[in-house]
Amino acid sequence: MTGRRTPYEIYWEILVYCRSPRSFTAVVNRCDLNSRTGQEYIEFLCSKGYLSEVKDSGRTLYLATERSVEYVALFTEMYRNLFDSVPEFKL
Amino acid sequence: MTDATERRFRGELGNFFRVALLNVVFGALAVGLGAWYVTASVLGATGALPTPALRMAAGALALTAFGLGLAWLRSSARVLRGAAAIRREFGEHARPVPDEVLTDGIVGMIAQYREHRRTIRTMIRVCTAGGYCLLALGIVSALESASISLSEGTVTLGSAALLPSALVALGAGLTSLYSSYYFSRFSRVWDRRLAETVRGEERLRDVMGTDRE
Repeated sequence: MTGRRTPYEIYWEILVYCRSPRSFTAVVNRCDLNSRTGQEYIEFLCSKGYLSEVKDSGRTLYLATERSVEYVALFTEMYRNLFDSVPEFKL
Repeated sequence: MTDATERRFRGELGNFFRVALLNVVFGALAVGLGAWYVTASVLGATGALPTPALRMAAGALALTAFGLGLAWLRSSARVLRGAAAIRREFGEHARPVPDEVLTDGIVGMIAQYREHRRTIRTMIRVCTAGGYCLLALGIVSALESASISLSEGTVTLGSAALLPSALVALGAGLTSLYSSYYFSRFSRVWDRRLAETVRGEERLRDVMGTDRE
């Protein structure tokens, strides 16, 4: 995804993408982040218990935890409401 | 997520894409028209320009329209690229799209709008100024192509060759004003959405427990 995203939008993207175990490289590629910021976001989500590390054949993969479900659900509802509460743009 | 939300999102994305595309087309037209008028008016290529003052006025307007057209084209292309990318990604999914795909599209539009907000505001101003410029250009050309006798109440076509370009300039001017009107409306709607996301961030922050340092 391109454009200027907020950290909360990036958290949501990472958490949704990590519903299946993903490598660090896959996460930064999918979420269009550089390694340094990708590392920061992943560390933050791990520290909050939203992401867990899974070992697979010596590789570290990241997986969204049950705890992230509440955040993802709230975020989804909030962004959906943007189209329900604000009048539509029509031609 | 409801079908209505998806329908609204698809509709808005399509409408925005069309307005952005219209801007690119008319930006290119303004550049072309501007270049043509500079040559035709200043060098007298049309062969039927009544006064040097009118020629100079048309030339100055044409040069302004040319410059504004270039700025307009550049900004429109940047905005169109972002909208086209979301449209392409979203279009790859069959209806109804899964929740996360729709939310991803909405986040994408918000992110694009956040990034291009200043550009869109500039485009609204450029479109408005360019629209008035093209309208004036069209009027000057229409006057060049016709001579009006107030005493007799008659209009005589002096140079019919100028009339089509005058009509094109008038049409482009009106379209430009129409386009800036729609961009203003689009901007108002998305400004409200942007404000909603800022308010919503507080709730997300609460759920997370603390802000990210």
